[in-house]
Amino acid sequence: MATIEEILAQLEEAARNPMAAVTQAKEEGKKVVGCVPYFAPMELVHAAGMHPVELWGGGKITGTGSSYYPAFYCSVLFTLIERALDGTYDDLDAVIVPTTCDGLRNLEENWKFARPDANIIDFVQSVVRDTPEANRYFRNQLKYVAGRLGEVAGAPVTERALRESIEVYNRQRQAMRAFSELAAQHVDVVGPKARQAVFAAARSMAVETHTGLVEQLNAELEALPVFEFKGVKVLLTGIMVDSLPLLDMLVKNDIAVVGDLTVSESARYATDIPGKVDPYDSLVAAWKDVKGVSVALDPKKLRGDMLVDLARERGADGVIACIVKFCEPEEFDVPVMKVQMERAGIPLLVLEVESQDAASEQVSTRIQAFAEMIDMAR
Amino acid sequence: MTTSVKVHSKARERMREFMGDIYAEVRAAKAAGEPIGYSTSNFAKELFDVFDLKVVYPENHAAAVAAKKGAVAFCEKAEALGYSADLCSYARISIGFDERDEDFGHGLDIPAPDFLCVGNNICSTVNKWYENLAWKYDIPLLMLDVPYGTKADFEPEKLDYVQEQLQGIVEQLEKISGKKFDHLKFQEIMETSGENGRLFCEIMDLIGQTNPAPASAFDEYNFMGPMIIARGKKETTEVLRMYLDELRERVGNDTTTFPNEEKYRIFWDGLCCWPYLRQNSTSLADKGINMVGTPYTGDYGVGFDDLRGMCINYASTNNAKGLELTLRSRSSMLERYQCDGILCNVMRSCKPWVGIMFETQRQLATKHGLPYTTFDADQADPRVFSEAQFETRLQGLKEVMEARKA
Repeated sequence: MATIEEILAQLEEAARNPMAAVTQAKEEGKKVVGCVPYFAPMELVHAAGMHPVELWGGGKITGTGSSYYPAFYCSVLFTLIERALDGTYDDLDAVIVPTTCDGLRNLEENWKFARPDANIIDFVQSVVRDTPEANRYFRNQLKYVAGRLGEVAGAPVTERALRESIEVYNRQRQAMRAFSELAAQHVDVVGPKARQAVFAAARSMAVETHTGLVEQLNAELEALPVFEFKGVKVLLTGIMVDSLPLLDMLVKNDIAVVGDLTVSESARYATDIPGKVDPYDSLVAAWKDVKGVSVALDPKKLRGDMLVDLARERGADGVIACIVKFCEPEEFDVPVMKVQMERAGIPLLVLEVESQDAASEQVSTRIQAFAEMIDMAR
Repeated sequence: MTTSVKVHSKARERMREFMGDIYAEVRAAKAAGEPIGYSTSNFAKELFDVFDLKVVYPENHAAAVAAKKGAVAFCEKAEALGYSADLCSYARISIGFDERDEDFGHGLDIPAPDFLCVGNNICSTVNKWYENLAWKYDIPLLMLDVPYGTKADFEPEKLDYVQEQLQGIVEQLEKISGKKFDHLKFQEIMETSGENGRLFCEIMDLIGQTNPAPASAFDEYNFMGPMIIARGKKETTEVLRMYLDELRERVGNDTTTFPNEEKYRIFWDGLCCWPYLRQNSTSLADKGINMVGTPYTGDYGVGFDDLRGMCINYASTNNAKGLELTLRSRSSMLERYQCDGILCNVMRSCKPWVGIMFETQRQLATKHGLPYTTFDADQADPRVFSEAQFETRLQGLKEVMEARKA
């Protein structure tokens, strides 16, 4: 049996080189479909017998994106169009682009024209998720995406395959929920970067491989005594928290991550996909179950309350919100979260971050001050 | 030779009078204990009138506040609450206004909402803006979910979904108003709204298709007001007809309110800059450049005869359409309005529009062989605009148009 270090190394390798999984799948004769955030139905890609890979852009900003977006656009979108232009995604057989936010709507359109050779599958989710007409419409969209994927795969997506894929992904969801809890108890072994890698690896690895590794990791962690961490425990929240220098800064300031409400991490694993009579209804129900994220309509603004509950459950001392610059859904959540956290007496640090690796001196100082403030309050 | 004239527009006077009445009616209704709604500009507004519900349109209100030079103080108030300065300036003004310590005046003081209506056909930003209002006041949020148009034509499934939602919205409005839905009254209001869309389109086309134009399309911004806040009302029909008559009279006697000789005709992409309307229009006029069409006002120039048509209207807004639908409508305007160039407002706080603007302009420029230029501004936050840059870019565009005419 592999050691914790070996498993984490394998997951980190996959997390840091996501396109390697594309190459490998291609070598195995599989077709590969890119899934742009947020909440693209990877289960459908899997059911079509293809390899899904989640695309978050990243890499260097070279400037080619400025032909499509002004400088005040979010770096996830900016780097996604740049990678589309520079050929990084050329091996993909299709790309599903959901239109969850305004920027993604534009990305879906721009990509089609920027790279007419790319097979872009538009996935226009319903914003409303709790009415019969919204569910009917959303189901039709899923069927449309399934149809397009069937064309790419050369065979239609069957109900049996979709039910089986949903089960495969549910197993991953269960493993990831368990991992999040275990990682919080073993922050000595699972540091912020390793934790992020376990989540990030899921974006590109074959779901069965990833789930297998996480289950092994969970078993190993479970066998260890709970680690009593004396430093500052935080929750992270955001669209994504991929900046490795930022995660390093946490370690430097004796801060451990004990949970998250982040779209690219725990939010997508929060519940199982319900097993409905019609597997498309299962996916409709899964969309309805998405809660506490800025990109899914929520007039109750549950995000802050969910963070408060999670902080209490995990014994977190505070919350760090990593807001991707120019991400409007996130920026609108900030003032509300501030009030919610203040009412609950939980310190909140709001950092403006890029999807890239950069992390400024100012961010470093603010993290340090935040840790000191919590320490003093103790 | 077309003669420039200064005209006292009775249509405009009448419009101001009844627009002022609407804000006064909202205040009176609130004082009388009636529920007040806040709605985005392209929600299915016909439904409000069926229930005689009084509604404020915060975008229109924020634009009016910005035009009265009130934007900065309210933006700063919102920013102090934690709203990023990158967010939509309409939202920031409105959120800041909601927290005001004293009356603003100008007839623009509005009461707090009791229910919210959101159409995401203008952007997804409004989903978030109104979420926060729903949370703050703990009031219902009614959503008209208009799926983004990603194809070259309107898709029946998406229109079906828009249409199917209306019954649910009606049922929620019945609860809010305590009144039963009157389907014959709805028919009447829908007919008025459809007619007003046609009249507005006639206005746009009369300005755009007459060469030289009898006015500048800057005038359309004024008449857009009633189309936002009173689209289903007979008073709007009256005002639009009055204005149309004024335009026809000018076309008939070969006069124009454009204050200079019209040497160039341009198309303005993006929203206008409310705090700099006068500066912008004067600068254009000084150079003999007339803005004869803009897709912003085009949002309101869609007529219809039935429910399906009404749904198409609400799926036709600028930010509900992908590139292909966008190109189709813009191309048609550029051709019919005989434009010589395109001026684009790269609005810092309207990301959905700006995010496909660059590709749209490239394709339009290629197809129509027209020069275009951009300038950095915003719809309502005056801090983003640079007069010097605007002048330089406009001068550059003029020189290219001049060279092409030579």
